[in-house]
Amino acid sequence: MEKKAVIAIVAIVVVFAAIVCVGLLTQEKPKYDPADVDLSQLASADINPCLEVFGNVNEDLVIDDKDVKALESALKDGTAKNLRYADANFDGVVDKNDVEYIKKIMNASFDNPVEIKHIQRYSDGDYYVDTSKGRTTTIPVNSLAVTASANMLTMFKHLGICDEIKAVAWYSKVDQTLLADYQKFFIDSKFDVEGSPVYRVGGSAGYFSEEMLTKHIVNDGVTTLITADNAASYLNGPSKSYPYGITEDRAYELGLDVIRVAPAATDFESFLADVALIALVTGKDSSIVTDLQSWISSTIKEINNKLTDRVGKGFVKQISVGVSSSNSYSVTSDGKVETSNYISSPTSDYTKVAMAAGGKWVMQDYPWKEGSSSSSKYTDLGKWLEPYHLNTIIAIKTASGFTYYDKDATLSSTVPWSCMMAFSDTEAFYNDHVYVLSGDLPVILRIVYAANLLYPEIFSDSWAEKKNIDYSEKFLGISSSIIKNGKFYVTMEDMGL
Amino acid sequence: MVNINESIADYRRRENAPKSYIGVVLLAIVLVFILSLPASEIDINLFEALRIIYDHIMGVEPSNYHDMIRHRIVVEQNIPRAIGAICAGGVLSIGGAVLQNLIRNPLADPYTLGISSGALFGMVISLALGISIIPFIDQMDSRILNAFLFALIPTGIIVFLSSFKKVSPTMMILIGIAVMYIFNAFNTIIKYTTDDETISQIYQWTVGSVSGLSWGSIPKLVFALVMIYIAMYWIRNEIDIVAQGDHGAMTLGVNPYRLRIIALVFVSLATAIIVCYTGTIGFVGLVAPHIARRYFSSKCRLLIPGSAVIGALMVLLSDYIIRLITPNLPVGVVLALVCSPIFIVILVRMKRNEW
Amino acid sequence: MDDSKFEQMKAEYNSHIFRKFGFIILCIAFMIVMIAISVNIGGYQISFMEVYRTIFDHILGVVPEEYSKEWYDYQIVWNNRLPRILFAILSGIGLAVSGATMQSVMKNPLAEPYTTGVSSGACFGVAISMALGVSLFPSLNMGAEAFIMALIPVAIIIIMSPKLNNSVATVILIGTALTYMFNAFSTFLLVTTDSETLAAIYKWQVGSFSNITWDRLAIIAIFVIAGTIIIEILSHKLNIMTLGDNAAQSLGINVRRIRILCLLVMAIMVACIVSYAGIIGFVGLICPHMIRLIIGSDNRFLIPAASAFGAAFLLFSDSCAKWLSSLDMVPVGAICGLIGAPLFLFILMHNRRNIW
Repeated sequence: MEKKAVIAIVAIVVVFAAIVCVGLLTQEKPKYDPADVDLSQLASADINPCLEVFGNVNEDLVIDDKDVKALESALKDGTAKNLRYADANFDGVVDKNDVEYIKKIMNASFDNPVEIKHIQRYSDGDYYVDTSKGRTTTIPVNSLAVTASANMLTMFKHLGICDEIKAVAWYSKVDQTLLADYQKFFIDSKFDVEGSPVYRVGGSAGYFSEEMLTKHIVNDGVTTLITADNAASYLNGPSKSYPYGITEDRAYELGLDVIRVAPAATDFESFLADVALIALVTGKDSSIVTDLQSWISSTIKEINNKLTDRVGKGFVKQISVGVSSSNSYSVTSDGKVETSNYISSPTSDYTKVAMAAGGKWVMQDYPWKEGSSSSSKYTDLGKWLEPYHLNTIIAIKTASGFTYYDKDATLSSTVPWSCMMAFSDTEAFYNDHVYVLSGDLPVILRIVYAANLLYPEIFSDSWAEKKNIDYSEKFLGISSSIIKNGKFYVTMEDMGL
Repeated sequence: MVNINESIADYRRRENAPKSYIGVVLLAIVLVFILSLPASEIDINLFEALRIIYDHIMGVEPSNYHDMIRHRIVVEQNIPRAIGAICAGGVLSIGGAVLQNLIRNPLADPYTLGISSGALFGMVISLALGISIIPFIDQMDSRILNAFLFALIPTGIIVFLSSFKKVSPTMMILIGIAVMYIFNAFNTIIKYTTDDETISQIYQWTVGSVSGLSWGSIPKLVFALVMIYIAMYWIRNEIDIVAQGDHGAMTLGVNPYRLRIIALVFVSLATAIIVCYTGTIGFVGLVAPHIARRYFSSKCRLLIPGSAVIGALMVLLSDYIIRLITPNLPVGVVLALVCSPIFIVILVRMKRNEW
Repeated sequence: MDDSKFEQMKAEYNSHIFRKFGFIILCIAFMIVMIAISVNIGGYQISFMEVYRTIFDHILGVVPEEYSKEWYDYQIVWNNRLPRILFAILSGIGLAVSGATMQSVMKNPLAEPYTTGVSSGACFGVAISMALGVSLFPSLNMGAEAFIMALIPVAIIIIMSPKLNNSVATVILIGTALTYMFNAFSTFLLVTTDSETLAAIYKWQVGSFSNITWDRLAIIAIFVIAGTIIIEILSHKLNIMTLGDNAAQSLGINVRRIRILCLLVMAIMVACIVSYAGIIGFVGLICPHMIRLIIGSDNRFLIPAASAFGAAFLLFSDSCAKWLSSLDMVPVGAICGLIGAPLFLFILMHNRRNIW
C-alpha cells in the first residue's frame, strides 16, 4: 500500500512536469507587428443622417413642406412605393391620406397631438440586431422619463431640454462631472417634502421601478420614456435577459411611449438621426442638427487628412481602451458575481473613438466572446497586456470624482484612480502614457482629445481646446470661460500614480 | 499464541506508515514550487527564472523594461505567491481539521465562524468610511489591521457568550454564523451607499486569490502557519480525547469547553491573518482534512501535519494551474473544479465510517 | 399514582402543547397584520383607504377606466404589491420548512436547504441561459433552466445514495462538494461573458421578490403547499428516525426511502422558489433553530411552526426592505440577516434547553 501511493504521487508529478515542459516549449508568442495607421479604421467624413420617422419622405432631417411635395410628385409618378418612409399614417398604403397626415405632423401641438411611427433600434451589445420594429409615439411631448446617463444628458443639452425631464433612472450619487443644469436630478429625496424635487425612479441605469414611475405618470403626466438602445441592459426589450424593473412592453401597457437612442455611438449618422428624432418629438428646433452634421464632418475630414499625411513615415500608436466602474462584474471563486475592472472589446464605441483618432487596436487574439459587448473583464494586474506592446492606454470614464468642467475643484483622493493601477505592468504605464478621458464629452470631442493624446505633435493642445470651445459654445451653450477652466483628460501625474 | 513482538511491530508499522506519505506530499510541494516559479502569462522558461533569481541574490539590477517586468514577475510575484499559497492552504486545513474534530461536525471549516465577513467588514469601513481603529498608521496597513481586528469579532462574541453559559459546540458555530449574517448585511448595505471606485477596490480583494501577495505580507503568513501548527500540535492529544465526546473527555481530566475556546482563538487568529491578505479561499479548509483523514489517520498527531501538507499542495497546485492557463480565474475555481470530483470519489469509496 | 399528580401532569402537558399552538397562532396573526401594512408600503403614493378600495373593487369585478388614476392604483396594488407579498410568504414557508426538514433528516444542525447544491445548480442554470443565450422557455425568464439545473445536484445525490454506506454525513459532504463544483462551473462559464450579462445575473443572485406574476405565483404556491403537506404527513416518521437508523428500521420505517423522498420534495420546493427569487440565505438555516429553541424538536409541530414563522419573518424583512428604499436598492437577504441574527442570539441566550 505504501509503495503504491508513493509511485502514484511520483508518477503524477512527473507527468505534470512533462506537460509543463511541453507547454513551455511550444508556446507561441503573440506577434508584435508595428505597422502604419490603418486608414480603414478611421471614421468616415461622409455623414448622411436620416430621420427615421414615417413621413420623412425625402429622408432628410425634418418633416416639412419638402416631404409633402416629394410625396405628391411621387404619387403622380407612381414611384411612391419605393420610398421607405412614405407611409406616414402607417396604414400599409401610400396614398393621399399620407399627404394629409404629413401636414398634420407638421402642425402638431399640445392641443393637436399626432401619433408618429419611428424606427426603433435595439442592440445586443455592439451591433444592431433588430432595426425593423417600428414603435409609435405621440408628439409633441413635454414630460419625459429618461435614463440619465452622462451621454444621454449631454445629448439633451444639445437641444436645451431640461425642465421637460420629470423622472430619471441612474444609479450613482451626484455626478460631479455633469453639467450643472442636470445635477438637480440626483438630489436624493426619500420623503416628498413640499418643494423638494423628487426625480429618481430607478436605482440603476436600466431599471425603472414600476411604482415610482407610475407615481410620475399620475402626478407629472409623463408620457414618454427615452432610454438607450442596449436592450440587454435597458428596459429589457425583446431580449432574453432577466427582467429587472419594467420591460418595454410593460411600459407601453402603462401608457408610455418608449424611444430608444444611442447617445454614445461613434456612428454619427445614427447619433444625428437620434438628435433629430428627439427634436421632432419634443418640438424643439432641429436646425441644430444640420449644423452639427457639417461641423462633425469637417472635423473628421481634418483629422483624417492630417493622419493620412503621416502614412509611410513609420509610426503607430497601439492603444487599449479600458473603462473601470463598479457596474462591471466578475465572478468569484464560489460562483458569486462581484465587481471588477474591465476592458473594451474591439467593437465597442469606446475603442472606436481611439481608432478614429488614429490608434491601432492590437489585441486581436485575445479571446473575446463572439459579438461581445463593450466589456470584458480581468481581475489580475496588467501583466497579461505586456505581449501586446501597448504604448498608450486611454480610459473613458464618467463619474470619476474629478470635475471636468472645473479643474480647480478638489481632486478627490487617490481612491478613484486605484483602478488604473490595474494597468501598472504595461509599457504604457511605465512610460507614463495612461490617460483618462472625460466621458461627459460628446463623441466627436472625445475623438478630438484622443487624437491630441495620441499624436500631440500633430494635434496640439490648443487645437483641441479651440475645437472644444467652438463646439461647446455653438451646440451646448457653454461659455468659453468655463471650457478654458475645465480639464477634460487626466494624466498619470494628476492621478498621483 | 500471539507473538507480542510481531503485533507490536505490526502496530508500529501501521501507525508510522502515514509518515512516509506525508514526506511524499512534501516532496511534491517542493517540486511544484520550483515548477511554478516561471509560470505566468508572459513567456518565461524555468532556466530564465532561475537565472533571474540568481541575479537577484547576487544583487544585479534589471536595466530595461523587458528585464524589469520579468524580474518583477518572478521575484516579486511568483515566489511570494507560491509561499503564500502554501501558508494559506496549510493554515486553512489545520484550522478545518481541528474544528471538525472539536465541533464533531463534518461541515465545520474556519470560515463558518464568520471570520471572512468580519474581515471584509473591517476593510469596507476603512475604505468607505475612513474609520480606523488604530490611527496614525499608513493607509494600506491600517486597512489590513482593521480587517484583522474585525475578523476576530465573531470569535470574540463566541468567547464572550460562552463565559455566561456553557455553549455546546454546535451553538458555537451557529453563533458564528449569525454574526456572519449580520456583517454580511452591513457589507451589502454599505456597498449600496458608497461610490463605484471604493466598491471596485473592496471587491478586488474579496475575490479570493493569492495573486495580490507581495513580500511584505509573507512574514505574517509564515508566522500564522508556524503559530497554528505549533499550537495545535501541542494540544494534539487533548483534541483527540475531546473528539470522542465531551463526557468522556471530562472523565479523563480534559475540560472540553476550555479546550474549544483555546483552539478557536488560535484558529481564528491564524485564519484572520490569512484572510486579510488573500481574501476567502473556500473549499480547502473543508476538504483537505477529510482527505487526510482517509489516507493518513484520524489522530491529530498525523492529521495535523497531514492536512497541512495536503491543503498546501492543493492551493499551490491550483494557483500554478491557473497561472498556466489564464490569470482571470480566482484560485478557488480550479480548486473546486479539480478537487471536487476527486473528493466525491473518495467519499463514495470510503469504507470506514469516520462519522 | 393518585389523581392530583395525574391532573398536574396533564396540566403541564397541556400547557406544553398550548405553548406550541400559541406560537403558531401568534406567527399567523403577525403575518396577517404585516400583509395589511405591507400593502401600503411602496414608492407609489396611495392612501390607506384607496388601497383597500382598490382591492375590494377588483374583487367585486369593477374595472376602472384605462389610464385613469384608479386604473394605475389597480396596476400597482394588484400587479405589484400583492404578488410580491404572497411570494414572500410562500418563500418563507418553503425555505423554513425545507431548512427544518433538512436538519432533521441530515441530523446536522448546519444543514440548510442549499446544502444539497440546489442554489449553485440554479446559479449554473442561470449562467448557462444568460451566457450562452439559450432559453428553453423564454417566457419563463430563466425560470425553467434554473429549476432544472437546481435539481441536478439532488438527482446526483439520490442516484448515488445506494452506493453510500448509509451515512448522512457523507451525503452532506457530497452535497457540499457538488455545491463547490457547480459554482466552479458557473465561474468558468461566466469568466468570458460581458458586463451586461453579469450584471443581470448579479441582480438575480442577490435575491428579490419583485419579479413575479400571478401565473408563476400559482405554480409556486402549488409546489410549496403540496410539499409542506407531504412533509407534515411524514413528520411523525421523522420523529422516530431521530432515535437512530437501526432503531427506526426495527420499528418498521424504511429510513432510506423516507430520506430520499424528503430530499426530493424539499429540492423541488426550494428549486422553484430560487428560480424566481434568487438566493436568499439565512431563513433556511437560522429560522428553524430559532423555532426549535422555542418549541422544541417535535417535527409534528416544528413544520407548521416553521411555515408560520418563516412566512411572517420573510414578509417582515421584505416590507422593511421596501420601506427603506423604494428603488429596490436594499436586498431582502441583508435585512433578513440584520433583523434575524440578533433575534437569534437573543433567543439563544435566554434559552434553557440544549437542543443540539
